[in-house]
Amino acid sequence: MFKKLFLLLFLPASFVLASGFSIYEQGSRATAMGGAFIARADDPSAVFYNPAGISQLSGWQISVGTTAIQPKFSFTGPSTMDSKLYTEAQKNVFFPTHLYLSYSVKPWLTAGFGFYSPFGLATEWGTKEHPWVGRLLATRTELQTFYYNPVIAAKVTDNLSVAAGVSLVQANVEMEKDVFFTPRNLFGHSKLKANTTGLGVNLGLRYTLFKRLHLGAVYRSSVTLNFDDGEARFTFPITTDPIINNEVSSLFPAKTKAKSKLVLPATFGLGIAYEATTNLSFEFDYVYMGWHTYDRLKVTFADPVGGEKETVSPRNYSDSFSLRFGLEYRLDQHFTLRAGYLWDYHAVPSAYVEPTLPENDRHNYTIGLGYRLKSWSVDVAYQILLQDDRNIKQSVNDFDGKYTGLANLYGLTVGYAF
Amino acid sequence: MKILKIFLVLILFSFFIAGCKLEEPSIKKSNPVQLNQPAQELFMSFVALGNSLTAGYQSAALTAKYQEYSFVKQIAKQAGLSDDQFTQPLLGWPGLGAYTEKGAGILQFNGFDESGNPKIDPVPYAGTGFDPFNPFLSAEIAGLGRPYNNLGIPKIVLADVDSAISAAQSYSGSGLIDVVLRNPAFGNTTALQQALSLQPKLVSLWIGNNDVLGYATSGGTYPPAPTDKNTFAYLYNSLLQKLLNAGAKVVLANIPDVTNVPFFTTVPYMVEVQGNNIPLWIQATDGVRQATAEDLILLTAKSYIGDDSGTYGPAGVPLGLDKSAPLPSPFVLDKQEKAIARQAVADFNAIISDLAANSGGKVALVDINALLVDASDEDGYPLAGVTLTTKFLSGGIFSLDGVHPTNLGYALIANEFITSLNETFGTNLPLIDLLQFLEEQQPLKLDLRKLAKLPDMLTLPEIFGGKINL
Repeated sequence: MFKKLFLLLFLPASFVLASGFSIYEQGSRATAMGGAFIARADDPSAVFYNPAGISQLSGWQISVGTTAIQPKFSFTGPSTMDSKLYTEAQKNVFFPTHLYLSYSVKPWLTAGFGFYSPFGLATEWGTKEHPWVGRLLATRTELQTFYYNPVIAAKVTDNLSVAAGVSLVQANVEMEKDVFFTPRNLFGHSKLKANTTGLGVNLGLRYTLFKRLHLGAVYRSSVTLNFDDGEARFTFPITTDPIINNEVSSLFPAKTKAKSKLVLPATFGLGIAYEATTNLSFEFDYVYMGWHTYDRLKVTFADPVGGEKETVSPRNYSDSFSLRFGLEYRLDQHFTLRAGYLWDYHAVPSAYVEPTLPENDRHNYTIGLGYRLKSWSVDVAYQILLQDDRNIKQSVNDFDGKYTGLANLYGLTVGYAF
Repeated sequence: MKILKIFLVLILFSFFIAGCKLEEPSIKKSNPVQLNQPAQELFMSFVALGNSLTAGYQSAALTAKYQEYSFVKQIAKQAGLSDDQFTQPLLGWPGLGAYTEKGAGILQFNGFDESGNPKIDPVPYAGTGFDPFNPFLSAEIAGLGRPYNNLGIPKIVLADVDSAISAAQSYSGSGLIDVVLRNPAFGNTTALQQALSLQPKLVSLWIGNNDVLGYATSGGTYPPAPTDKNTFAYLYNSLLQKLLNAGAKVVLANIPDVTNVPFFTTVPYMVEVQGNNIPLWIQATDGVRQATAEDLILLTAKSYIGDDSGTYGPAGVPLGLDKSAPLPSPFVLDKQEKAIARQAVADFNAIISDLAANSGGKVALVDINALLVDASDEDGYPLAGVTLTTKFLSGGIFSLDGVHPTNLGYALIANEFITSLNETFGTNLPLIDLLQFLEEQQPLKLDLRKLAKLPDMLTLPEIFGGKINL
């Protein structure tokens, strides 16, 4: 059929992932120390950072908190249009929350549970009334993940503990953009929505040397998310011409099932911590993320959209890593000061950077304060993420320009030990 | 100690309140470009010579609605020239073109039929008030007292530019020569003479396409061969020298390879008959045989494949599906003919680029062939979320006749010209903002009152109860 000619190259095709879409801020104490916590791992957030660490915790412990993430991104360009045209992304704040429990079953055995969101993203450009210049690439993208993660940690010797856990992962994704129906010069809008669950495992190891030097290693597996039951909606303006209206409604189903697959990357981390004095300690971590899993995005539709049942777009992300450095200084029995620095290496190759995730290498500076009173603890953290400006010159979408970005992160975690 | 603590807490919380802000640039949009000296000088008098591609021909006709988007008009607009400073022979709706003799003008896309084939029909003159014998948009345009700046004439070949004064006295026989040149009122002058009389500072010359395209679009039948390359070189050189001797700077464009044009690439060489893919039978240079992937079936063949009326073969035998009823040669550019056409394009382009290179900086060259080769590969031509390709109907670059560009296709071409002008002559013309261009394009609406009564020119017939799969 002739409709097959309508290779729908203007279909929604942008899940967004990047190093920046991983959210490593899952506990305000660790956040305040640049996220360098794999070797120390001595509060309930260890379930996320290094589950082997919970074997240090006694009795029942609970901690709960959130990190308010306030990103600010802008795009200048595209150079094909106006190399000085400045667009600021809509301001969104999102609140990935975390909750941890640990219970020391026996002196050598500790059970724990974590709820956290290590991957997530929200970007929005332009509005319905004032569409932005990249509307055909992306208007709004949102991804949320929730990990439900029980773990078991065991002390093998006084110096060595190991841990393992499984994660049930729940994911929601929404992607919106405008589409352009070339034969009629008509702009429409597409919206993809899907949710699913997946499974993953995590492993941890912690080893102490000479009582003051701690080593940690952690592995979190990749998680395959099969979005089998998604929904795609296409809306076009009603024209005064019934033939065009029929044509558009037959080519673009108002609603159809959509399917896709996304593999969240595996993470591997190593840390070393040193207690210089009883009040001062340092940690240095290296965290590696296997973003190569995101090589392409394929969306399959139940009903043909513009004659096509699937769209494939290359993503070709590459693995990335971060270097994390943190220190903690105890002022007195109540107050603790923390600071840190971390550097994120980008995951998106230059040619594939697009507005859904304007990503690049990032410098992060963190600072924080802990307060402890009896069984209670309150930790606050502030992190400033400064992203290197990224000049894109050979984008596969021919959407070249300059991306700039930064983010403010505010963390608050409250803990209680029974 | 206590003071220190309070101090630190205050510092920390001041971060919370203030946060860090993104540094905004002071300029959030470019100012309009002021044309520099070289640009102002060149565009004092800008004249275009060429064929249908220069005229702004689209969807098988020349009509004002689309002439406004001829690539030379788009360049003139970027150079700030008004309609009076860059004049065109604007024609009324639905225009003159391939269907004029059948009493119709431009092709329109009228949606899909029940089996999903696009319905593409020319708009009949009846009821539009259009007079093919006085086709101009207005009396003012018809009676303009000097030659048009856009002297592009559909269908003409290279030899016509410096010799044709009317359809009757031309190599191509193009009826539009009379419309554009308006002889004898203009003293039986050629396109070149009219161009030179405007004392051009800059001439756009994109010619030679029909010296091979005529051969190719007729399936290697009429004319039976592309223009001889030595003749082509001689004519092209003498034309160029005359322009340069008159003191003009010239921008040339080369010729696209036919294999990148949807007219040749849309209809597959196999049809699906009752679930099987069967190669078409064709009348090829080397005799009647089944087509292979090397042969190109022309877009014009579509409405005739499977025809069993007996007009083109034995009655009762579907055309192209049996050895006794091969697709006639005019519908097929077979392997040998394709090689001849491609060789001619390569020869012509080598001649054009040699002449441009040896012109001492007075000639700019635009590699349109490279643009289309680029757009015809798998990735197409990406444009901020839309991917343009050279596919028929859906690709966005070619109009409904499969040979001539759309408004957007002409804008891409104009940008290639502007880039070349800026690089060669040091002008600072702004590129056409293609995204803005998309936004400004009106949705292509139909006028139901003017829907064609003519038979579908491009609808595929059903064969043996099966359908042709494209």
